[in-house]
Amino acid sequence: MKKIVKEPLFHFLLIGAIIFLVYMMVNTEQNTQEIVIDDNLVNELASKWELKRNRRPTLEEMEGMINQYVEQEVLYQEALTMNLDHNDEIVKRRLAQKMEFISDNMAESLQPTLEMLESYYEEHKDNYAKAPIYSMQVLYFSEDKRENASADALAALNHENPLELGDNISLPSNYKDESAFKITRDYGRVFTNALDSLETGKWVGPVQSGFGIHLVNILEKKAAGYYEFDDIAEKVSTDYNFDASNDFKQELIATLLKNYSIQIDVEDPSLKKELDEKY
Amino acid sequence: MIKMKHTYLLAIPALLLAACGGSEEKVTNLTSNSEATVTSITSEKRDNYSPFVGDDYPQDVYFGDLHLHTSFSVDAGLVGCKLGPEDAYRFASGEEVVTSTGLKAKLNRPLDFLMVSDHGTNLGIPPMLWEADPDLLANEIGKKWYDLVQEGKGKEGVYLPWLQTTMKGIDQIKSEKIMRNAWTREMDAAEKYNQPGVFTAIIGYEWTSMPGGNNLHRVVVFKDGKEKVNNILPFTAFDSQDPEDLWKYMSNYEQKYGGSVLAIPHNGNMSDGLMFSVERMNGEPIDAEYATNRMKWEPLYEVTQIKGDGETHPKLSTTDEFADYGTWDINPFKGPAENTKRYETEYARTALQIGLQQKQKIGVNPFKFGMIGSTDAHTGLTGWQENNYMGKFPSSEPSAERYEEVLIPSPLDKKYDIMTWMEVAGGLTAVWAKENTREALFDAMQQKETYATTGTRLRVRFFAGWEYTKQDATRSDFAKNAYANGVPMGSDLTDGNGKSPNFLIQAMKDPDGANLDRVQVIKGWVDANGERQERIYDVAVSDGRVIDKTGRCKTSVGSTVNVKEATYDNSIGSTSMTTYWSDPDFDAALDAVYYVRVLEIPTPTWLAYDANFYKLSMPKEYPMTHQERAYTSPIWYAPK
Repeated sequence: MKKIVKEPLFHFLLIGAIIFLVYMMVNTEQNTQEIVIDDNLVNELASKWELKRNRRPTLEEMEGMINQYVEQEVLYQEALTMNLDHNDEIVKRRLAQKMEFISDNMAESLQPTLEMLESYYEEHKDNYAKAPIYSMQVLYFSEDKRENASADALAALNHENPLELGDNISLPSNYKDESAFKITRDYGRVFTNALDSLETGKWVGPVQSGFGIHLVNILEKKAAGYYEFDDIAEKVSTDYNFDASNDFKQELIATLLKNYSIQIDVEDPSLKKELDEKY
Repeated sequence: MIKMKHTYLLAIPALLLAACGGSEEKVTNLTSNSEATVTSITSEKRDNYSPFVGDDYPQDVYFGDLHLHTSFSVDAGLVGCKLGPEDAYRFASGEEVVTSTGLKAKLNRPLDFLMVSDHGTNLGIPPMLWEADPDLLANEIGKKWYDLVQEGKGKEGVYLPWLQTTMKGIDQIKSEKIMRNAWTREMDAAEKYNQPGVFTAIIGYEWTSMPGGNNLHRVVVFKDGKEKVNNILPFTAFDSQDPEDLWKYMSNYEQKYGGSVLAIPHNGNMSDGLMFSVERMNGEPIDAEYATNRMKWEPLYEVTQIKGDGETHPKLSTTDEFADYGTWDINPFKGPAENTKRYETEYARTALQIGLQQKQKIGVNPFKFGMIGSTDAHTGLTGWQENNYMGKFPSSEPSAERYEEVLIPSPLDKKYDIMTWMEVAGGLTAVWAKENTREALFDAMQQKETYATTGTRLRVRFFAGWEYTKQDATRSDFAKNAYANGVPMGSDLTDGNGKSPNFLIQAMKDPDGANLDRVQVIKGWVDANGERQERIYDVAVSDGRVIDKTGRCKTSVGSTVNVKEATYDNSIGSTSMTTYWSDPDFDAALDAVYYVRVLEIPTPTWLAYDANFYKLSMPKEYPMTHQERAYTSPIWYAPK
């Protein structure tokens, strides 16, 4: 105890405490806080008013607005003193969003080098593949016109020349070295996605599209390879930044979490198990 | 004979020349034979083995957005939009991007074309503020704005006061150099992403005239590349709020630099009746010269977008059960209309009829426009699809809270506030063109061979002629025959012989979308007393329903929508509809206008998808299902 009394820091704190006590005794208004009314505020209030009503406020109206501002500020400060912001869901969400925003900004300031982008591109090359190229025939079996288009299509598979059995549709029935991109424009995504896993060199199906049922005969399917890094550097950079910013946020939260011990006190055993494993 | 807009008559000899290896003699012979060649197109007899030689009509339809804002628009950049023109083109061409609020976003299928149309008024100021652009900082107001943005007061300190002065037509920056810089960047972005044949990036901007807060906005569309457009700067509402002055500027551009340009107005629903007013801005009644100019420069109208659908109003078309779609009739700056009179000059259907009235009066139809749709999003993201809706402003990008946000606060009364939940997820422009290039798309737009959709990529063809028969609807060479013997959407049908005109219509669903409920022809005319008239005919309906003697099918297609799960299925409706129709009430002595409306079966709205995704329970009055649709450009009949 004697040692502490000799510490300069202790003296410093003691002097501070004395000054504070004296100040409290002399000052009759307890806990005075500052509320500033300056031209910045006046201009801000005036322009908000003008936006709503298309004219400048009168002196009286301005006084009214300032009055309202002062009231709000006083109530806000008192609410803070009374800890009303604690455990308020809306306040928590807004503040958490502000922190996330700060974290995003920090992540953005970490610009990747060209080497980092190139190695990211290599690691995620599947994301940068070109649409495959098809040569194929398509047959259409309309569900509008047929009782059971799928059954008809299946039956047609065993026919000598299925080409004779399809319905009219004003879309191409033949593709020669056409990109899946173009086929998707015509027949839609569901159809093109289904092509991926189909056998080539014979009539297969039924295959579903938005228009109905099809049989397809894929004569040839060519993988189109990958986009060159130089051609899609911007996309790589966007992907990299998105991942980096997410990683950064996760890391930031993980680091901050180390300062907290999380007490788990829930009854549900399966939930408890999950949470115990996580934290 | 029918006046043919498509000049493939002339193209046949040229193509034959290519096929024959180009001997002079042969060409001459074939040219003199060209009439005969044409009549044989639809018969068995042919000169070429390949029946497709000489085909020179649009075989494909291209979908795009002609109205999208990015951070280069002051009212986007200063309220949080971080995506610029390059991001916008990348997203539209199918790439994944990160939105202003940090979400990853991608289209289900790429668009075929996009025009970034940022506001010309103080174009490009937001990114220059962020970059501390030296020219902008050298400007007194620019420096003041920069400081405010640095203090985090971009919205309150810069944007909101800017809106006030801009609505009064006051330019605070007044710098050609700054404008030139911004315009160059816009053009460069379009040049960089324009890939003829794959994805077309069109150069353009928005002329944002709003006298007294009334929306007279037009997007300005250039056919040309940077080498020509570079000669000029955008003509803005600071230069003039009068569309007639915009047309002078456009005319000057074409004459001086040999380019091509057109303008497309939008949001008549927020124009307080001015959009299709029969008065000029100077208060004079419109005349033949005005009408001629307007139709020369403004062949199209943007009939549907996020800020409301403008086809018709339920109070104008009282017997149309589909009229109340995306109705935004409260102007937040004016309140609701005092009477329905105002709507007549705000909505497309009545405007087309008023056009016919004006033709009788002044000799020229001033409102003979085709239809397109767009988004008018201010996010840099043309994300119009209901289950992938990216919002109007960054504040309406996907979030659990967005539907409750105030979108446009009313200065009059809170009850006139426009709320985010009222947003219509936005439309698309469909263009029947010969190829996906700036030139071909522009030419088709000028010929009005376009239609609007509320976001679906359904296909619709619409032709009129005097000789079509029922059998023509089921021909395998439907389009070829239809072009050869009639005119497509956007055209005039003339040279009648007193008989009723015949129409061929073919509609196909969006392959990744909903089935079709029905196809309708909507007719407008002016009766013998000079009164506007309209009538709806159902011409094809799904599921074996019956069209009654009055030409209507009053049986609803039903609904498969599960609102809670935000799903639907295609167990009702048709995948495609092809039909022949002849007007049963035709009067050869009266002008008439016909357009087609195609309706899909009911599907969930973006609100239903939001409620499902974010687990929300929304108020009952919010629209959770709707029927998406397409409106074609009309065909106009004129008596001899």
